[in-house]
Amino acid sequence: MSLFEPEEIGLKVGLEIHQQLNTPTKLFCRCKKFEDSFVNTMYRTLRPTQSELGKIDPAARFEFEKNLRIKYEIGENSSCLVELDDEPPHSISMEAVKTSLIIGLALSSNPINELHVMRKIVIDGSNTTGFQRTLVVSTGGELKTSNRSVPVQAIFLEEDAARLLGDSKNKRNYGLDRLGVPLVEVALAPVTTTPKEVQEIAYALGRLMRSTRLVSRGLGTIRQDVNISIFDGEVVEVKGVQRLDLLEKIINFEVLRQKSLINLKDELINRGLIPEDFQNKPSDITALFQKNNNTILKKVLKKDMKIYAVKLKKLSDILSFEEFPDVRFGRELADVARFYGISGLLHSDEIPGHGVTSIEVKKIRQKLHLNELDGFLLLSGEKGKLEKASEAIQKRIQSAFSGVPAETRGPTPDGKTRFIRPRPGSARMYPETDIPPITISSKLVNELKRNIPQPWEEQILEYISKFSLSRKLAIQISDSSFIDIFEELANTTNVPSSLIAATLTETVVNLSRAGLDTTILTAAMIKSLFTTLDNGIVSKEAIPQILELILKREVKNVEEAIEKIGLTALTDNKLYVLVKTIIDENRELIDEKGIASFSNLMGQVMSDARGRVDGKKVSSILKSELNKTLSLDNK
Amino acid sequence: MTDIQGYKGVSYNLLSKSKVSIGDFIDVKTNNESIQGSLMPRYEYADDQHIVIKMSNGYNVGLRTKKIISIKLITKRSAPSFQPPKTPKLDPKLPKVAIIGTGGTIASRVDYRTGGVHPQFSTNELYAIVPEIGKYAQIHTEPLLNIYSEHINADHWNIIAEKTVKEITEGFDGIIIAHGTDTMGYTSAALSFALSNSPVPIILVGSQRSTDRPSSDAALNLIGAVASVTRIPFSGVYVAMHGSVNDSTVAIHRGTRVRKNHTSRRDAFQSIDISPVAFFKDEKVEVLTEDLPLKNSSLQFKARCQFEKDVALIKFYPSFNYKIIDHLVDSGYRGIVFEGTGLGHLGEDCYQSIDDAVKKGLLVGMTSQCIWGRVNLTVYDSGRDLLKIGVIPLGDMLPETALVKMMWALGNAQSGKEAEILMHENIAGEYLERSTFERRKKYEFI
Repeated sequence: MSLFEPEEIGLKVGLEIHQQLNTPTKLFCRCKKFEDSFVNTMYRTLRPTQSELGKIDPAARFEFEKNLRIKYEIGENSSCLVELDDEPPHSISMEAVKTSLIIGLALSSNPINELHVMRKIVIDGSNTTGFQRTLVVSTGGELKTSNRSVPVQAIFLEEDAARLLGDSKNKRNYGLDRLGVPLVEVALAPVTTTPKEVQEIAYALGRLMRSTRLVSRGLGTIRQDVNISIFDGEVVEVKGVQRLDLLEKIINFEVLRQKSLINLKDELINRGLIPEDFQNKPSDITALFQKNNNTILKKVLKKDMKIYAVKLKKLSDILSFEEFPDVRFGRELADVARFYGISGLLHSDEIPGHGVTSIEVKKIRQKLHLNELDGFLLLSGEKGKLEKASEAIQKRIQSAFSGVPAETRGPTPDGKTRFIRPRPGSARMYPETDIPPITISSKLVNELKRNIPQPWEEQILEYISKFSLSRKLAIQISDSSFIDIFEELANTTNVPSSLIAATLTETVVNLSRAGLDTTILTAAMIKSLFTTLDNGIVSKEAIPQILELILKREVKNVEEAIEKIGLTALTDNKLYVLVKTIIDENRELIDEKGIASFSNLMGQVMSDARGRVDGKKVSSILKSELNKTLSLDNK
Repeated sequence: MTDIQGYKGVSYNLLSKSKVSIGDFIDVKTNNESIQGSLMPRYEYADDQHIVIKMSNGYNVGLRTKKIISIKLITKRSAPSFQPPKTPKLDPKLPKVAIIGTGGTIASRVDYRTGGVHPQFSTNELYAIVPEIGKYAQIHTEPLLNIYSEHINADHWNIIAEKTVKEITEGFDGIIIAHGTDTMGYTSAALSFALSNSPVPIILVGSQRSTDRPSSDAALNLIGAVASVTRIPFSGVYVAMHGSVNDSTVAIHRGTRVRKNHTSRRDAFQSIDISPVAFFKDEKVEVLTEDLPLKNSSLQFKARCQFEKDVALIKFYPSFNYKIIDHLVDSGYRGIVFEGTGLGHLGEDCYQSIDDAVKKGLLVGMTSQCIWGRVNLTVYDSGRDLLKIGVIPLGDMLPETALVKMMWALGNAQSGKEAEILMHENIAGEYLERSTFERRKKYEFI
């Protein structure tokens, strides 16, 4: 059952899918490795600059105010002076340009005639330059899913950002290996749709891109941003959703959050409030809490830290009001405070409590001259930060008068969203002066048209016939990140393709559902697993057990797993010996039950042989030996 | 009249026919779609087959004129222009520092003529963009030149030196010169000699990444230069640049001993055969040496700002043709500095030409292309031959510094003899008496 009707609330969802390309080098340098171990470090700071139109992007200014010192980890093979921003970019990777154009052509998008590389200012440290190099390669087009068509806005080619390794208050840590890896971004137009359908659209687009065989696979190689808006609200961008199955939850949460903000706007107006009511100077009330060391406000309170109180006119009961589960205005304000490095935050709806006594509340109310309809905020932290934060929080309240503010939010692991920064505007675009424009000739476009991959449906049919897979298995394996290794193993080993496919999809999914981290499975592990199987060293029954041991990190590789379970395969000779021993030990049972004793005997043999030999083989040997025994007896 | 900067030929005709100007919000219809955006300027070196528009998402795209069916004006808008920031208030208690702008990467922005970057920020803008410098000094900015440093010549050294003298006599406590990095080492040497007994420190500063990018090294270098010029106890001429690839330390190099040793790294500048004089880190200036002339120590400050341009710096190489020397002599050159091999040697087929040059009154000096270390013309026969001819061994002086010094010596001395005496004299730390083991190591500050 859905929580709302998309048409009624005017839900529009626009997807932006970012997919890493599997090109031989990075986009603007010739580094070939996209993942690395780190051997060097470097420290940098970034400051906002004006765009070519003379404007400073609000998101960039916001980041600078946090006064970040950024540490970069440097790998020997995956980055060069270009990633360090200590050498100008080399020429653009034409393989990447061609791949992005092919993806565009597959979506009937129109190639741009002359490509202009732009700098998109991003000063959170994810790019050493302070900008992401990005270009539009084509505009327009449409994505066809099984039951609808979604217009394409544009296709972009851009550098991937550095890999975030750690983030604390004033320090941020990135790895340079991923920086500069080519990414193609497909921006779909916002459409009225259901949260469930969005997931299908994302799948269809992912499939189309993978069908080019020119994109990377695996966790982190595809990320989606989703733009969500409803009637009377601005567009909210949720950035960096890595799991498609979270999309539906995130959209559902975001719709309720936005609805509640629109209702809040009406409530503020009903209470006779105007934005100008929220320009109050905070009061320093540190002295009031001199003797109270129980409150969470003092948890992080070091020397020179202060506690400020801010009056919130007629906002009593609003901050903790929960119209929908986990949707509270207090949470929005706390997000803003946290952004400015303030972790100690309490509001009038939640105290007395949290170590603040009712006497203290009374004193605060007296000091701020509040009446009972008024609320207030308590913030603790460094003086400079407190002033900035209390201003930013009041600005956030002011923007509540227009409903849903345009902002960039991030997903939480449980499918909710949190404020990251204000939404950047076009002021953050600046031409990349180090790279001249690139002409795309009609001749090149015509050549590339010949490389448009066959539609996904045809690929599935090919899988079904070539590898004798069921349709379900063919779809599962083609959607999985193991497609390349699957094809390799299916073509080079004698293991049945369906077994390989089922292992890499169903078995792995089951293990993942059991709470194991299946991302640590490497291609090398999978290869060695099926080679041992192919060589008869283990039997197929042992596969789940081997995988489980590896994923539980009890062993490092397949060989260790086999050793651990004692799983060396039974040779035919040994199997005969085992079968004969069991038959000898059970003569009485065989005499009594005859051929009906088979299942009992089978169980006994298998308890010793499970995982070491194929069950079918055991069954046939046991059957023939049993028959021999019985016919001898009859004689 | 339409303003369509940079467009020519086909694209120019199309735009002027459509009566649209740079900055206008337009609708361009092509054979398969219609795109809206602001018309952007075109780079001069680009072809005439495309027009560039900025779409509302901020991206620029080039549209082929051949595919354009029509261009329609939607709204008139102004061309992109940069908004200069305001100058902040000055704290009267702080020392007074003059910043002289000469151009270079520290002051570059996008240039629609070429599409590359071009020196464009006024020094005042630079000051407003790096407000931190207001913590250390009252800043007065003085745009003087607006050129890349590769276009700077000895006449510019003279202009910069005289401007600096003027600022010193006006009572500034320190002078900062914003300079392109390519030839900053030459200018720092030139000023070291021209203003050798200046009562206040003079610091040249540049950047390897232009100020229009958030990662520019300009801000930290400028902060380090301003802090250092107010806090080091010495007079003299210095270069302030990143001490490592980190944005943490600014190294202060002596003007005669510094060299750009990398094309693009921000720590390209290194002191050769010596440690930097000081470094700036975490808002503090740490001085690493004691043996430099103190501020205000000279009784009278007399600048010598002339330079003789007819001096050549010649790198010797296998198969070097002595006729190059003859040509310089015939062209009226007054001095030659050689970058010899190893300890300071040249092939023997040059000897006759050098002898002729010396006899005609040219100053001929010898440095080493090894960069690190000093020349010694008494170890091998070839060196002794050159000494006998009259080649002046220039110790561990950097080749570029030696060139500049000879230009300066010939420019200010009354005679060749006097110029030769100046070449031997240690004017501004261009000669080091000792080559210590420690000084050989690279200084990298984290």
